[in-house]
Amino acid sequence: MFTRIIGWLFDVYPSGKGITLWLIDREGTKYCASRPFVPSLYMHIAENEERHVAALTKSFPFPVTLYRVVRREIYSNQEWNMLSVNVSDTTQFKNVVWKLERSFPHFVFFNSDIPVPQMFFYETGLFPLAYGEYGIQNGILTEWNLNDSYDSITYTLPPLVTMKLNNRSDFISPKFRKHYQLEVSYEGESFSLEDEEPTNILHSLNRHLQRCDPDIIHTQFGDAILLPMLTSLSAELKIPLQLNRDATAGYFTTKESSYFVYGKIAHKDGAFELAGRWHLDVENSFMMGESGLDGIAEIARLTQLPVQHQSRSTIGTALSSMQLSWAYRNGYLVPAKKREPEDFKSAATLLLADRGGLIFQPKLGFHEQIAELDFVSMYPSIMVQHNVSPETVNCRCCVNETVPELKYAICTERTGIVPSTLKPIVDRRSWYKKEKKRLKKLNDERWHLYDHRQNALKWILVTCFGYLGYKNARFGKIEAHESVNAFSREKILQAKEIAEAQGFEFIHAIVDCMWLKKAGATERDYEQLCAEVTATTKVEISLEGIYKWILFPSSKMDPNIPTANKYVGYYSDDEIKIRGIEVRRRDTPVFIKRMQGEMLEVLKPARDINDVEELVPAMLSKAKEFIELLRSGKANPLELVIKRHITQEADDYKNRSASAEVAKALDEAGIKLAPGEAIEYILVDACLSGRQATGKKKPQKAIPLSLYSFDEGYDIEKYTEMALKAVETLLLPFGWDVEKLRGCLYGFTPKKRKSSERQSTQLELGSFE
Amino acid sequence: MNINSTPTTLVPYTTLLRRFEAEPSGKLFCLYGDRSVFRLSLYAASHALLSNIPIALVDGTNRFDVYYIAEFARRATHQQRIAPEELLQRMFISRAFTCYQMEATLTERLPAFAQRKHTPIIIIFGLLDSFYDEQAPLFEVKASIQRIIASLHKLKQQHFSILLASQEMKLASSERNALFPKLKSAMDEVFRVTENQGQPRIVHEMSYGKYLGIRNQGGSHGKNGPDIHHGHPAGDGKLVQVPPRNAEGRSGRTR
Ligand SMILES: [Zn+2]
Repeated sequence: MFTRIIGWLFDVYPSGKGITLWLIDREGTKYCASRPFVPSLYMHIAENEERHVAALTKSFPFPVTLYRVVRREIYSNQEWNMLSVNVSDTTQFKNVVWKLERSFPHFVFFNSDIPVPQMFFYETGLFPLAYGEYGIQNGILTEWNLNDSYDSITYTLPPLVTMKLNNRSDFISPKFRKHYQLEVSYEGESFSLEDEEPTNILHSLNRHLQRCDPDIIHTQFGDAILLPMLTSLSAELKIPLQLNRDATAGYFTTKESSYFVYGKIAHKDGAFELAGRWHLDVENSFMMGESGLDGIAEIARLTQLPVQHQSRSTIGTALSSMQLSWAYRNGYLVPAKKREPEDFKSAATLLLADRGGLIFQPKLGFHEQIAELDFVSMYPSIMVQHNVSPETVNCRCCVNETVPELKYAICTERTGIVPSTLKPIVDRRSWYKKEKKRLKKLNDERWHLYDHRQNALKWILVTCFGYLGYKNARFGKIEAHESVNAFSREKILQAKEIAEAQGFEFIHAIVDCMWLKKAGATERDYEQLCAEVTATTKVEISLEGIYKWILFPSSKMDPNIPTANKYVGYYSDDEIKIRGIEVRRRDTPVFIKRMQGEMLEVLKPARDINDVEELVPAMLSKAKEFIELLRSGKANPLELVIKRHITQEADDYKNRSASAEVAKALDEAGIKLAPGEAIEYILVDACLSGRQATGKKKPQKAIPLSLYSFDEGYDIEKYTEMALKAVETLLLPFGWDVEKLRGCLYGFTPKKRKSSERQSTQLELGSFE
Repeated sequence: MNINSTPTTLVPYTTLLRRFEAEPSGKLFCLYGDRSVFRLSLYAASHALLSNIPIALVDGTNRFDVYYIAEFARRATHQQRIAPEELLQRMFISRAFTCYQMEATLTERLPAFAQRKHTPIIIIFGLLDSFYDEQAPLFEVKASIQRIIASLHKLKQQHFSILLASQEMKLASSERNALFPKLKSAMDEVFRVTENQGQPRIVHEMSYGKYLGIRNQGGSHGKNGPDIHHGHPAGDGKLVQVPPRNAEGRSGRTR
């Protein structure tokens, strides 16, 4: 029987039939089909070693065919004679690779670490959510004709049915709980799955799954907690769950992991992916949190990563997939293990290369009538404009000294993989931004869609530079990273020169933004300057706005040192811009954020520094309100919650920091956390908590939110200290340091410290960590 | 480890230094233990540079401190009347961030480079550090180390002297813990560094290879006595302090 469907490609995964595909038509009807697929890996080995491969693969119960091919290798750009190994069972591809890897050195393998669904997409040119005409003959996808392309910007999405599955209480995340109260919601209704009998919970979940037949199961902590819990319950009670739409398929799961990225420890929950449905866990998806489903769809189409996989992957994985797809389209083979080493360079060159972007320190305090000019996507633009890529910087074919200062060569023979994949993103984002602006002006609600899409792309552009220097990046190379920095320094210096030649005063610059001043300069003057800088540097620079006033606060450590990327100011259109100070920081308790935010609100009418100074008493009285509430002990403890990421496992903490205490307390309560996971806690008065908790040996200074009870109060002195610091950030230029504020805001006079008293006047914010 | 209970010799720090100042002729040295191994190696390297010997350094643990060398060049060249730039041009560095890169560097790039640039001394920082990453399968790691050892021996036959500097580590995996002894046993001379009241103390742990000549060529700065110098001899025989900057201070970028 032949069926023709006009619709979208919804899901793809390896199965005994090759690849199983799910399609959704315009009416929302779902279709399942399969397509034979034979994934291939390539080995760079001599012909006499072929026999060894044949012997190793013979033991598999499915055909593995071998033949010789000539393919181009990406780094050398040369054609190599390779052995193509073709695995007829898609579900066994990894096992074949694993077996071969044990007998051959890692450097002979090419394309062997690419997941099968991605390989299928790259080879067929299909992509998630591709719209077109699909023909199915006896359950096999035999033909398709797409009216769509992975890089199209005017695409549509299928009608999708969503079911939410959550833990009912959202006050404390299920990670920190031992009992769950499940709730499902769909079509505007919510149902509690609470029941004494776990059997009933499973049955009623199955009933809801049948009734709703969701395309998307949307959860919070579904990966880490809910689905593993439900499926183990289902196995225990022998009641099959109908989470998968494909009843013949299993679940795709991975383990949680802690890893280092850019010098910081990060944590990732394991994955729990479904077949024929998408499980999207908002807690385990950066993109979901940033740009929602619109962002997920945008990136999945562009990167050709299956939606569930994409929603859980890092931006680095997304970038890599685009690069791999480009390599496939252009006939390049990619080594499985990145091994291109750094070229030897002299210590003299290293001294030059080891610098980052340029920073010109600002004059501290308040400034008025200052304009901010930003280079638009400076790093990706440099990579695109100067062809910076791992295989083009110090390539094997060209001799030149193109990179400023470092004199590295850049290939003139071919365009690199990094610029080739970034250029469409840069162009695409700029189109979305324009469209968003246009629709917003027309009050057309669709502007949100384009905003989500451009925001999703922004993260790729923001990350691509760091990724170029990241050790595990598939297409990373330290010289490429250094080259981008060298170009960026050159560009900001060029901009500085042009601006100063025209009488603008250079107040401050950080890598790709600069703050300028010129008496009487208008918006048009700045725009003209932008045009000139753009023409010279070949990177677009735009006027971000003119500030009525701006504050560059000093560092907490040394009042004479400014801190990079920390400022607050009001633009002439009364819009506020804040970077890096407490109110914007993720680790600041809500209470302190609110206080600083409301103090800044007081400054809204200020036209210049004089006005700001006149409003200082009003700001102080606002601060006083908050600090009095704090000191009365009646502030809402939920607003005092501090969020941190633990850096090691509970047992490994040697110090007695708040994080260590919290990790240990959670550990004792049976909640195991891995490095990189977030914790939430409230600081409490150690003496008080020691007195109350009679069973405890040591008094606690921090209690995890999930173990906190309201009668435990909070550490008034420590939170006061934090609040004072936040006030100081704004008012230090007018002479209000913490000491003076203390006297003014709650009549504190320093007295001799008694040993029994816990006065924490010397504590820095950082020491809580 | 109790030093006195093992059949080792306390080796003056200066003896080690002399090895780098003399024209070397193909040995595999290993200096391991306290993290001061990196500072000591850099100090030794600086002196070789002063004697006009170019050096290739492979850094597998992000411990190479270019600012230390720059500072040394600035001070030393002031006395020697050569431009610091000249000294900095004699030292070549390649950083390896993964075990695959480390292997590629040591088996392909380094042999070609050392031949081309005539760098008789090769220093390798934390050769195995990236091999301790559990993401690289053990069988792959073991095979890779074999290839590396073969390459080091080939370099030795070509009269390059190689110094491995490694910080001693206790790993969770006993199999990975066994990797370092394996590498060590392929060296000619092994020295263990411990810290004693802020001063590095070097113990000549063992000579595996046939080469045992270090005692004879030890120079005039003391032979087998305990190394309790409070300063270190400069090239011209005067005592100078080791520059205060800590080699553990990483150079700029974090990854
Ligand atoms: Zn070229």
